[in-house]
Amino acid sequence: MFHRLRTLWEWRSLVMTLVGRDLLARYKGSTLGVLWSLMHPLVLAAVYTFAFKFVIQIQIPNYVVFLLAGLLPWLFFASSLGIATTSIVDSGPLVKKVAFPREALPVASVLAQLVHFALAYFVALPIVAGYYGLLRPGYLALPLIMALQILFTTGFAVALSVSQVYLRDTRHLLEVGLQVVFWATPIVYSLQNAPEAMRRTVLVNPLALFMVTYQDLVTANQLPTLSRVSILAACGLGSFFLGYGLFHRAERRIAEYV
Amino acid sequence: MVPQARPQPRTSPAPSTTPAVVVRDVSKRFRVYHRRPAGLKERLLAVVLRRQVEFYEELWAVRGVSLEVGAGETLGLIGPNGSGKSTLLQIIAGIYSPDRGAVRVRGRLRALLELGAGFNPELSGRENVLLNGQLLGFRKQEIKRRFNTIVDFAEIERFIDMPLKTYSSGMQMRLAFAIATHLDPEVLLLDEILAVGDDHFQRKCLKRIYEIRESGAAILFISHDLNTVERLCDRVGLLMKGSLVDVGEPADIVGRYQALLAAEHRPAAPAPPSQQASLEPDVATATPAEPPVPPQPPERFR
Repeated sequence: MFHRLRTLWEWRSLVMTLVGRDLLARYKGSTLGVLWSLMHPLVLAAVYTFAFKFVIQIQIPNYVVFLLAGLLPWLFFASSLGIATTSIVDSGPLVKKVAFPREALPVASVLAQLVHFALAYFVALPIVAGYYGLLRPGYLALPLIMALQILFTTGFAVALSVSQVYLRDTRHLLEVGLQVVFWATPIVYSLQNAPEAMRRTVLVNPLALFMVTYQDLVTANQLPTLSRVSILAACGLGSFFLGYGLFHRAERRIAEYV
Repeated sequence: MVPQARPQPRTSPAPSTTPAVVVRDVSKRFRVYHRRPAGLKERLLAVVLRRQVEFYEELWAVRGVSLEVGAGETLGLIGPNGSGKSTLLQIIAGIYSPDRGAVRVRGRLRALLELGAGFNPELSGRENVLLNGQLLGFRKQEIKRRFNTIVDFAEIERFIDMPLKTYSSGMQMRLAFAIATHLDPEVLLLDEILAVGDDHFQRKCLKRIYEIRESGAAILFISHDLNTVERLCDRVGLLMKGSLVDVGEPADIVGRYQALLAAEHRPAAPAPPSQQASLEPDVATATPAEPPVPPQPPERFR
């Protein structure tokens, strides 16, 4: 396991180039280029704000900020998995003809999405600052929570990418699954809006825990408790090592089935 | 022209006694599906109905192959389509893991198994050199240092900043060959890469291969161009139905293969039974119901 991680580290230059390839090739030829990846979260934020604040009239102060706090990390999670799942299968000729650590492909997908995510954060920052001011001590905890979410996401990404090789239904299962998880996670609504029964069971979902932590940080300037951080750390590391272990076990015949 | 001035840094050249590539009793099994591999629906049905749903045959694409290639030696591999040549190189390259046996490679391995396997058509030639070199295991700085040499060799200076999709297949092939052969290979695997390219460039490629051999690298070379094989290789191995039936002097092996091909294509005349039998590997008789083998078994899996 750690041997594998060290190998990937030795190939980090390739991983970074794959990230660059992903970012460059995705928007080559389009006029707006990388602006498209900013458009997507902002349009979504506008649509949800319209539906939940103005139509349903949900009782959450400064709804836009609340929404962005959870929506951007969610989009990072969902789009990373969407792209990582097919990353190996889409690189069929490469996987068949060139020997390199295959996990570089899903890991690069996640990192490329992280770049989009970071750009979206920059755009969201003035909006958040307009409500709450630019500097709040709570923001200092954001990088730590994000790092844990990146580990959490990467674990799923590598496991799903190898699953897609052997079981082509994986990406369709994922699409449906992400829809369910999106609405089962407090992103467009807050945990306080949810019925009592759901409030207790929702914490079984690690993503809900991540979202609530982000929302507390951004809207209430409330630092996560130590026990909350350790649970998130356990989720992040657990997902990462489990996913990586699964990948390692299943990768032997990837080139034959891809 | 080919730059002679470039230093050939070789870390601790292997003594000629220890082979650079050792393949010991390697076998590789593929599952050849009559349809695509079972999806979720089929698997669920299989559980419910309790019956076998994956209709596949086992195909031993490589059977018990053992060979060694020394440093500075060039080994050619010949044989008909589907004889396991490409699969064998893919195993040596570490892409497939053998089901039996073991492979040991000493030194930096560079494999050119398919033209531009790592190329991205949307990116420029320059970006692709970087991407391809890194797929072969190189750091950015190492590739940048050799960048001009690679581009000079491929003769595409004018087009280097254009997207690769605007290149002709000959240009792509020249670039792919230039990358793989200018990154100090110690073990070089070449699968049918001289098929594209005009006369001038083919000669240039051969010259480059000679240079690499002179530098002490081991080369494994697959080609259907028997003249080139005979000229280029120190030894030649003949593969039939996954088994290495003979290894030896290029002229002998090529001659034997040509005789075999001639015997096959002479429809009326019955081939001498003794010769025919001797070419059938022993293992093959164990699985008599051999399906017609596609040149690249795994491609059927799509």
